[in-house]
Amino acid sequence: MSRAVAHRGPDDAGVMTWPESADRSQTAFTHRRLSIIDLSSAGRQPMTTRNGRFTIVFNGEIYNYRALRRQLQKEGVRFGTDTDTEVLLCLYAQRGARSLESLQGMFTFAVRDNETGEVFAARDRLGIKPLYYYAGEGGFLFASEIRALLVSGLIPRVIDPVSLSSYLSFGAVQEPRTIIQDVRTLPPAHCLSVDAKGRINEVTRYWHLPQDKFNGARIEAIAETRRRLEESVELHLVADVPLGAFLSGGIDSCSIVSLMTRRSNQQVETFTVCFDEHEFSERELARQVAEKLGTRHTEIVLSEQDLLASLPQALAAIDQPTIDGINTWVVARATRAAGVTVALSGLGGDELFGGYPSFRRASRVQRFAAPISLLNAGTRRQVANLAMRLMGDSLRSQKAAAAIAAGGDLLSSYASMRGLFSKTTRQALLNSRHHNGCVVERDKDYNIPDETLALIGNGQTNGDVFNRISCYELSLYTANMLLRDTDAMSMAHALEVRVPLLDHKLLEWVYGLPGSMKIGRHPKTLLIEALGKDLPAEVLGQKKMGFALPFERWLRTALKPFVAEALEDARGVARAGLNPIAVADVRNRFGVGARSTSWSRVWGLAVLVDWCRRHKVEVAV
Amino acid sequence: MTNNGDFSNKRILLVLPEAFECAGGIQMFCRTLCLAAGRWAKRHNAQLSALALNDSTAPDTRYVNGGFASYVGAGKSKAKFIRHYLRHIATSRYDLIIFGHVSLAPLALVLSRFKSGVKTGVITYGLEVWQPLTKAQRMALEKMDFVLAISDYTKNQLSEQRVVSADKIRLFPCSLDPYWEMQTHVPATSSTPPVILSVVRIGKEDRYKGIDSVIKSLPLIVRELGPVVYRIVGRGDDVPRLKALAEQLAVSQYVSFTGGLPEEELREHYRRCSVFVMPSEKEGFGIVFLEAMAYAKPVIGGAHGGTPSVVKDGETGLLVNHQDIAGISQAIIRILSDKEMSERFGRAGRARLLNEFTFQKFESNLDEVFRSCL
Repeated sequence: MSRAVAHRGPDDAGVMTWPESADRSQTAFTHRRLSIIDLSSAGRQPMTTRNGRFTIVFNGEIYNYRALRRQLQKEGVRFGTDTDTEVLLCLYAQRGARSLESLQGMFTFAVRDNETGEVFAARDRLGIKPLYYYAGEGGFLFASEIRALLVSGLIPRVIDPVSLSSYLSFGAVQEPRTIIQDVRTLPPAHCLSVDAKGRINEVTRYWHLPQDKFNGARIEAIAETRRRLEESVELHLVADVPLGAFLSGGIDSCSIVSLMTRRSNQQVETFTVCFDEHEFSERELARQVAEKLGTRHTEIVLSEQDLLASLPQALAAIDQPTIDGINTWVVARATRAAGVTVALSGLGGDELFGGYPSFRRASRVQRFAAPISLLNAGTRRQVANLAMRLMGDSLRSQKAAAAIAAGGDLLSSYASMRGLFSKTTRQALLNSRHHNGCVVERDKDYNIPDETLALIGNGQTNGDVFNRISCYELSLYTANMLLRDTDAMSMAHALEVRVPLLDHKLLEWVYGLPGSMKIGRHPKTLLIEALGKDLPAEVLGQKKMGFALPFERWLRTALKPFVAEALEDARGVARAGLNPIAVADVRNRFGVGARSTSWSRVWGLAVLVDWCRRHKVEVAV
Repeated sequence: MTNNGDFSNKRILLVLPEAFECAGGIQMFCRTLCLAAGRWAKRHNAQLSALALNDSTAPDTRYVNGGFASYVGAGKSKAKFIRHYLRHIATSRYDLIIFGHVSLAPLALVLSRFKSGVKTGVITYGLEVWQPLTKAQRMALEKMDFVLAISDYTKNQLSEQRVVSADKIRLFPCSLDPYWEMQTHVPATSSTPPVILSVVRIGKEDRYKGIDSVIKSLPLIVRELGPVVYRIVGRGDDVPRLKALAEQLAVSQYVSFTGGLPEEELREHYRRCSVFVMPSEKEGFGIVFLEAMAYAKPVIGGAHGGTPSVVKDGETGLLVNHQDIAGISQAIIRILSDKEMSERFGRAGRARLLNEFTFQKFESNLDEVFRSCL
């Protein structure tokens, strides 16, 4: 299991075991370390308190560890290392689960109480760092990646049919389920405790998104947003290794870099990974911004040949099937090769400040929600079908029809915006003799499993439209795709990616503002106003681009053999739980350029089948 | 004739409009009256009862406790209120009945038909006695043994109406809520950007309080000083119009409507403000000025009504004409840009509060009233 995640921590390794006894199971903690703070061997994990009572394994960073250390020292705690790991361990030893309230950072950790044999594990509030676990006949297993659980040999390699459906709905498996049956993710902002026999006592939530309650003036909102941004960026700079920042031409990364230049007394290193093809490249804009902000800027130019040659490695790094992630793998590899161990990213800005089209579309949908909701379900379906006929068969019409059929329900409308395969196509894809109807298809077009809905909690209905969309994006798209893929694909190269815009104190503040304070003439108006003149004028008004690879073209050319290999193997397709005829139909529609079938549909199927084949995972027979 | 001796078994009835149902100047005065009267009754072994027209829930026991024989809230039911009043005067021989509002004073006429020897008084605040009184109110006031006026202005207005002789009208200023006063030992701070604070009811009938004028003055202030925050604490049905006004003047980003707030949050806003402003045209007194003065904040009030009784122009703050937008903006700009003056006004205001408007002063005034009547 440890070797399976060695790529995440090439700098050190450790293992600790406790034998079985009458009242407790045999237990083992293993750890692979990527040294960021205190590079000495004193930081090796698993790490145990001086009195031997508690042992920890920890992945992540506690950004406020210095302040916590000072507090603990005042309480009489003595430290042997300069690590944040030791601070976390000692904090837990003093305060138990209440230690979570004080933590500011990205983390998953497990602590064993060596007196009782119980294990406590926790995950950070946004799900930046992962924790997968399995509780079954073989005992309780946990790991940072699913591949580590699979190689244990203790987990049946069976696809979870509910997860398969949610993957087809959204292009990523929705937590807390994973693609593997009975393997779960510890959800963001949750902790769990396990008894000495490896049985789960409880899984509880320790943090919620706040209600919006701000009643001040807009200029106060802007000033406080600025202050919290500065505070977050400053905290995220703590490292004993080379640190840099991704810089595209976008507002989010420019904001991060701009604030870094103000907080750091050294020249900030920025990186742009650019592509030969101009329409996909923000190279020129990033260069202008870097010059204006005075950073030491490195452009990493990739050719199509390099990218295609490295795709097999990128695919091998995928820990759970996802339609995204390859971009991140490519960028992370290039950045790590340039000598950086820690990179700051602007991820999170769109969710918090309203950068995604979903925010504007949701507002439009809500304007029609009231009259649509007066129609009964049958009539809405008829209107939806009519709309599709009038608009022609395209992705846009499919999604508009889904929104109408949903009666203007905001979550359903959001789900249709993010959806991959419609219900009809999904049912065809899943119509496999291997399923025996075990997948429960709900009435709604895009299937969000019940346990996933439970994680959204009160955010489903509380707050204005803007904040509800923010909640859905954070809970669904960001948690289940962006953060998961960013972790897996960056840690594949032992590159730690930090996300200052998802600092929970910043998030609590911004999320606590009413949507009216965050919207304006431009997307991300509040962020722009908070940065003010510190944001170069060049980035304002730019269309959001990001680092996008030309999959549309590749899937018709260079990647066609890969897709063929994956999707023409009928047995492989069927073992992945898909109907080979329906899969062929999707390929054909893409092949003829049908507007209803974009490249991501074909890619999503190919990645799924390829992943199942690599990991020898299949549906239950 | 003043009684300096034994008040035991003397019976006092307070007939009030409202003390606990909601916030407001009259309500605050009535609460303070309850507390002071209750303490007096307990000290002197007198019997105190109270009847409140609009109170529906149990009274706050910080204000109504050991000194009270009974406290009845009629829950806005006039029938219940009158029934209880009649029962009180029929079954008990009261020595003194104080009516907490001129609208309740005509009840004294019923009393005078059936009971003699009972002393009566009424409390007058502001607007309700600045306009012509009803015939029943005039008749009742004529028969009162005393009329308490919370400000010189109200006292003078009553004198001018010649309803009651000037020697019966006593000045009886409001005081700061004693529980408020006890919490002000935390050092006050100021904010960046500076915060202009108003604490008001924001109803359509409250437009005389001058919030419009302050909003209209913001463009001039911002042009001169840069960003400021104008924080308006309070509830009412006129908020949408004021928001639209701020939007129209392109100052909405500087204005904060907080709605009603719990006391602790309200205190924090007082603590952090740079200046308190309420250029009201028709304020009977303005207890909110006392609240700001408790935090040593400079204040700007309307040069009208009862406000000059509280705010001394050029000493504890500035007085402005409620419609003079330029004057209001200049007053605010002066205070926000002159730190020395601002602090001087604040210190003087707090000193004035501690000299003249404390709860101890209120108790002392009430003691004089009781001694003169019982």
